[in-house]
Amino acid sequence: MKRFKFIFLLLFLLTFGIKTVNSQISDLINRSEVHGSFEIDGQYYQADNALGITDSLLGGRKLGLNGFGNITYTLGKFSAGMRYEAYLTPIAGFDPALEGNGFPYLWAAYNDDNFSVTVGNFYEQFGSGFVLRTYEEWALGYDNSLNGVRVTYEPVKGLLFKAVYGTQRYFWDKFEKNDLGIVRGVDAEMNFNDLFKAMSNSKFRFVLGGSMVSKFQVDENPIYKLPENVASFAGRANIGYGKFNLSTEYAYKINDPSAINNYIYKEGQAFIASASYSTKGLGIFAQFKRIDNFSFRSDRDVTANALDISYLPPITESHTYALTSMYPYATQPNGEIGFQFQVNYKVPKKSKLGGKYGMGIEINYSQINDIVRNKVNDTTAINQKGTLGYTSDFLKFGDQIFWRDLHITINKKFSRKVKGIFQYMYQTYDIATIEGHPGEPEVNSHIAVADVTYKFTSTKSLRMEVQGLWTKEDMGDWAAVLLEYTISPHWFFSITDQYNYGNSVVADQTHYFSAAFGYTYKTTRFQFTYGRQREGIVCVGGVCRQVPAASGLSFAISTNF
Amino acid sequence: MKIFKIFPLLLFVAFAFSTCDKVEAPYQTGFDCESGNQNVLIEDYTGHTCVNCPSAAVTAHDIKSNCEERVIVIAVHAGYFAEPLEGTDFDYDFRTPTGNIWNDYFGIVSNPNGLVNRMNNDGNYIIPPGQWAAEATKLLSQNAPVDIEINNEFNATDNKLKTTINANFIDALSGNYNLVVCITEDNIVKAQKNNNSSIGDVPEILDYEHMHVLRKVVSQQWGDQLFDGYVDAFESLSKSYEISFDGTDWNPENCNVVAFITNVSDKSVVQVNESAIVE
Repeated sequence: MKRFKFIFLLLFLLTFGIKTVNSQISDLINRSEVHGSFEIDGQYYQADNALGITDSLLGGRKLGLNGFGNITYTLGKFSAGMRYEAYLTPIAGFDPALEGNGFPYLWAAYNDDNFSVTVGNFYEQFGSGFVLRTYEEWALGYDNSLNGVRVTYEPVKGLLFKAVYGTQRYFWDKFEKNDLGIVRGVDAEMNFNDLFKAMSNSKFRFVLGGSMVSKFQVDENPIYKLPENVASFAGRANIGYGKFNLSTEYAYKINDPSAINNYIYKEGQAFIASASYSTKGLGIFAQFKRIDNFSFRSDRDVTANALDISYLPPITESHTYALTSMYPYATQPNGEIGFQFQVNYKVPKKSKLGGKYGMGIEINYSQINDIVRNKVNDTTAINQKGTLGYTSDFLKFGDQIFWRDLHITINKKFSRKVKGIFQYMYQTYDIATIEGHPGEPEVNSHIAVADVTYKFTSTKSLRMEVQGLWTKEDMGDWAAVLLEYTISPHWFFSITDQYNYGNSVVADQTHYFSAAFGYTYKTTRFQFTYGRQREGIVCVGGVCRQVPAASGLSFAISTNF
Repeated sequence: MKIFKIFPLLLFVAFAFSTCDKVEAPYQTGFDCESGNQNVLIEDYTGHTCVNCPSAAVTAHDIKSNCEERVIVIAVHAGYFAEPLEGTDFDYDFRTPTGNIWNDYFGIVSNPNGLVNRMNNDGNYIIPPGQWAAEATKLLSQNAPVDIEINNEFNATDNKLKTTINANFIDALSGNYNLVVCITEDNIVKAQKNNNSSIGDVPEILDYEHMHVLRKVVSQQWGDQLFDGYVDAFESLSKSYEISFDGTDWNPENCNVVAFITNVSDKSVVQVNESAIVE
């Protein structure tokens, strides 16, 4: 009888226990969320004598492949994620140091109502990024994520503290003692409209913030006394009233001799101010920026596109058309001063100029010059290694123009079937400084673009781009044509040609033909392109990489869930 | 609770004052050139159309000027940026057959780059200029098992140099070792591209003073065998070479003999020395 009772009790407990566990697992699954994205970009190279690409130059490396998979898991206040990357071998133009595969990004986080902690890899930005911005930009093959700990704390609504501590990603290198610098940072931000009830419904908006970031790197240099702890400080304010907005940030960095600044001991400064006004049909935007010796990296000896702690936001418009983006601006961390001014105006419908549908006009002018540099004394050359380098007046523009861009864009719908974008641009580009080709004359170019779309039906349309770039410098004149047929929401087909008809070397008057098609199904997209790719520069946010000329088949597959 | 709320602020202030090293002039320290007897060979792989190379040459010069005779520099002009450009100011050919072989073997694909005593890390010999000083200082404090003595006799009448290299062993050494002997020349005034305005004109310095230029490797490219086996402490081994300056544009007044002993197994430099041809 005792035995029977025992078995009964055991069965009861097992049944009840399994039910409880089942219920818990079911609850766990119901509350869990998994999201992810995948992308594979590949390029198959072929020899192309017109571009100087021979089999021996390819050296057997006929396929480049960049891919990633990003997975995020969330369960209530807990989340975790990882990213797998493979560069086997990296597509031409990406840093060869990326070659390899693995999991460079692993993290776990707990987010409470007013507190969060993240361990592992993370991205963070303080203010505009002057003293800290870690981010990943797939198009550049750039990733400077921090690996360490991040804590955020919001004691009351409108007051936010952040603290980070870690080392930065450097391709596939694992951190070893005294190998790379260690980054520590804190940030505080007060939103007065959230913090004070009296201001909660005010037209006047005010946000104040401050950051401090320091890097530690051992000094193993026997010649120079190098600072092992380099600190940077920043203060920022965002002031708004009605339709006006002004945001500004100033950052200061103590002496930070590095390979980028030729190991000078001058302090660094960065300043940006953006003002905007917008009302129905009109937007005005103005920016001013000054950078003086503000490259801030966690390794002072690295010159590759890596390990940036600071981010210096661009104030030039990022162009998307093939010829308007041929000469993009790369931020000059050693010194630049410039401004941007933009007006957007919507000509009203049914007016003489606006016609039936109205017309959008955008005028933008930006200019970046070198800063003024003066000798620190009579015996020291400007920027001489192991000295204070130079002195500089804060608001003076240097004579050398790095970049100038005036463009006018008109956006016009002519009828229910036809719409167009028309752009004219005049650009000055200091190729010697921006692309590092000393001695080459600045490129002054006129560029015109016509982009017209004809809609056959609600799902079928044909878009045509005609572009011209006229310059006496660099490679001379270019023309480009694109035809793109779209069957929404799934298919597109395009053919394009860029022709360097004005090249002073007749043999280099090359056509860059390519044809492409793509298919999109829900969140998955396939794209194949066959043809030539011209040599150039790709920039995102003022950070650039060089793209060599190539010929062959490229493909891209991406999806997310 | 209030303390809890202001804690981040206190942390912020404490952090601000504890993580900042302001360095005051003078910014240069000195090498420790006294301890150890290991000399250092910096091979600066360079080219006259390489805009960043003058900065690297200054780096090498800075290191040498700290420890003078204990740091020996060879500027090896090789690779793309060393190619002569006919019809321009850059038509001079600084390259040497052995320099080209070394350049290929050590995998130098961009300039400036270099080697320090041909030390390697998992087969990678290349050390960027920013790290030359740190690598040099590690080596300078070490003790080498051998010293090198160079005796030069230049006969201006027949334009010939006789150089005798003595390897004087301080400690016993076993293994397979070669002796590499080179001629370098200073003060060659030729054009050089440059992007550092603190050094000279940008983008070109037409009267750039090229220093430590590798002119010829007198021994075989990887050296002549010094010994393969065992050498006892206080023994000496000697080799002599005769080099004619006929048919060259070398100025003997500016030339040096650089001799270094390498470990054949990994090419590392055991000891190096330099001596002017005309004192």
